[in-house]
Amino acid sequence: MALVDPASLPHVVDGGAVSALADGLVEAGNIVATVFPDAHDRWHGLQTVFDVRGAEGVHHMLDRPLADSEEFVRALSDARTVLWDAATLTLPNLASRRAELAARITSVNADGEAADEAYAAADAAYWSQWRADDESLATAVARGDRVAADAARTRAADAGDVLRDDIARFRADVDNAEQMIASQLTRITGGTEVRGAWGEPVRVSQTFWGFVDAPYPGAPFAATTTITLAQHLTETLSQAVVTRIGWLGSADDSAVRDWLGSHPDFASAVGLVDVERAERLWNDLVSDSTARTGADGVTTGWDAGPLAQLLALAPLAVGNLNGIPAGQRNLFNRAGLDQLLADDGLSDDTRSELRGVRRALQLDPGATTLLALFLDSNGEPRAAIAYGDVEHSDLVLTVTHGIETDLDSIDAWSRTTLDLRDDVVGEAARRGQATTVATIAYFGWDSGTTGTVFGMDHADAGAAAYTQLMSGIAARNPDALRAGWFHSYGTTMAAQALTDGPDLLDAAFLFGSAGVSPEAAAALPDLARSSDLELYASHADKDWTAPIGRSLWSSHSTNPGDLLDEAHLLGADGGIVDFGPGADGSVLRTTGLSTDGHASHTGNPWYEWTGEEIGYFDERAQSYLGGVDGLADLITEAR
Amino acid sequence: MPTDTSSPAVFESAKEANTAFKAAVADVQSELWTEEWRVGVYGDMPSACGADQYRFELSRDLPVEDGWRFPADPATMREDLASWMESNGYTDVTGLSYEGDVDTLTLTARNVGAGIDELTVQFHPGEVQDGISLSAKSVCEPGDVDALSEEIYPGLYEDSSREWPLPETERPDATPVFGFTADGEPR
Repeated sequence: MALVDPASLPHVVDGGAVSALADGLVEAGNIVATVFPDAHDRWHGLQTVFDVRGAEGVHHMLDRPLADSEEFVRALSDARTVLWDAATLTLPNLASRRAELAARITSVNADGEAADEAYAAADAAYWSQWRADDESLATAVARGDRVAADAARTRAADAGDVLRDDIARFRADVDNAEQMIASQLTRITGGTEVRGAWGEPVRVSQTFWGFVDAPYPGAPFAATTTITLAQHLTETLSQAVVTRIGWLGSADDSAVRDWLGSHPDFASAVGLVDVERAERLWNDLVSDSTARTGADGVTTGWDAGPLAQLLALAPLAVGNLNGIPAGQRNLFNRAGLDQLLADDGLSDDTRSELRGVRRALQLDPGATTLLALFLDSNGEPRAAIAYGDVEHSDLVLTVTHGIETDLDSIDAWSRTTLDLRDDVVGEAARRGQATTVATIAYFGWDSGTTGTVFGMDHADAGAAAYTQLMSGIAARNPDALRAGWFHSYGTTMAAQALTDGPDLLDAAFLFGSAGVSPEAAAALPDLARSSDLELYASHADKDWTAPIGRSLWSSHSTNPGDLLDEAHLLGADGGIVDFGPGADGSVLRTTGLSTDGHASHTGNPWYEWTGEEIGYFDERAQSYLGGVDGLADLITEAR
Repeated sequence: MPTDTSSPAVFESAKEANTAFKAAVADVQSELWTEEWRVGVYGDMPSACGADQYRFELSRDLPVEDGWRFPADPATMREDLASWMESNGYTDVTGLSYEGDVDTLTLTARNVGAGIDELTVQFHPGEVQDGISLSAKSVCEPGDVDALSEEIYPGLYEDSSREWPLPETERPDATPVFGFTADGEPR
């Protein structure tokens, strides 16, 4: 057996490979150092032939990238130096030590083997002599030889120990050298650096490589403060929208009209501005504008300043902001509705849908708020209509549709939304809990079609918009309970919103779910188990449409009902709903009808050819009644 | 079916339909409670009902006063109402209830002759107070929702900020409002 295992000797990185890498960096740096200034010079020179009013700054657009490229080249150069030192000094030293150790292994192992053999021979000779004549001189000599051979064997073993120690020391040195090279490389930094409001440089990971220090003194470090690209884009978009709104409020009338004419879907981006930014913008606009107030002190209009101009020319650019007072959203959005209806160029369908919105606003006069209204990028109208006071109610509840549903159905959905409010208030009152509720018919997203239902794009986009709406409500009415009823693909959307923002709702009811995404399926069980979210699902046996959305090839194939306990599954097949104790302690139950298919509303749905079918949201349906019961529980348990 | 498609004719025939519908519903309400009911969906704004058809929908519930209790045993009230309906032209009278300790009761029916396509009454016994909720859908009539709604609410689509006040509570024997004049008076 060998004294020292040759395999225990660590390898050293080939210096040649490292210097080749260093050379590669030099080449890259040279190219950047040549190409960037050339591009910048050409771009800068464009101003001699390109002079556009409003775009005077365009020829400076590559100034920053040029400065960054110079810094980047320097960073490459520093990296090259580190690698060269490693390749020419550190690594060759280690390599020659390794060679030396490898040679010693060979000789030590050879010595050890020889010493073992010599001892074996001396030992055999001794015993042979001893058996012949244990007191002869030859035996004494053989004994002496054996002792000497043993000592030689011990010396060989000791040499093996020493060599193993040397190898261990060598391994430590190799590790240290590699660590040192790596740490020198990570200390090399470069990229776009911006200054925060406090004057110190701030680095964000997607434009800066290397070590990221704290964004402000005392802040937590790197990993927890990295801004993702998605967040970065969201902030950039928000800021751009806010800047544009400011411009719309102060620029020349005809410029505003022209710009809006070529950007008819601008209002669809307004709802995505984050709440804090929207609040700041609103406060700035208010301070520069003159309000018109009615007898009760309520602002009924704007007489001067940017808000007056916006109300006159671009009301939907304000009305869709989440986080501003609901009464003002109502004022601006209704003005926007009038402007849209006055447009002769509207398609018949769009006009018909907008008129449906108008009718829905008269269902509960004095208590109806048009929270959102815009034309999306396909020219389709979208809206959110609230019945009740979203800013002061104890509970704010949204009601949302699935695929192939838009404002064409607002007549039915608005009545359901209004009745649901009254049903919840009534049930809570019967339990002795006076409460105020606001319900919102949420039609603020494009839920897509049968052609898109298996994907997540529409659900993701809807979730972003819905999240902003509820964030705005949370900002204006922080003490309210927030809940949502969702149907079909709307549940897919809601699950995304809840996965991204677990605090978004206190309760969510998923009716006839078209399935939730894998990430939602992973996140929802814990959310549901926590005390922060009451999650319910309801699926009717006769609903054979919902499972199609959950097919194996769908990007959202998990049935949320499979993630929940029995108590959170609302029956939908016809049966008893237990509302809890009644008068005199008797048990209060009602019977609900079975949901006959996938539809949200009773009638003849577009995809089914059988007769009139009871929908999930029919007020007689077991699913509807179970949902009302769940909401009443939420209200009474929150007190 | 009216052949005169002029605006006043459209309005008049819709008003006739709405009046008949609401009178029939009021009769049902009177069998249960003759005092004030809380108004949910008032029922004078038409909603689309398929292509080129419209209908009216309304909802009412009790109580208006806190602590209200059924004037009689709800099972008896339901039985009596079902009998009354069967004697008064209602068809498809169905009640959904179980034996034993089930307290809450639902009754559905229709009376196409009186203009009611669907009527639902739910009795809700409660811990602190009782309740009744009633909803009704009229039969579908031929007509264009847009044009009709503008007749009922003149200027509806010209000024979205305008709101016409509707009663928050109403007795079954009250004369219902059916839209407003151009001056904003209820009619």
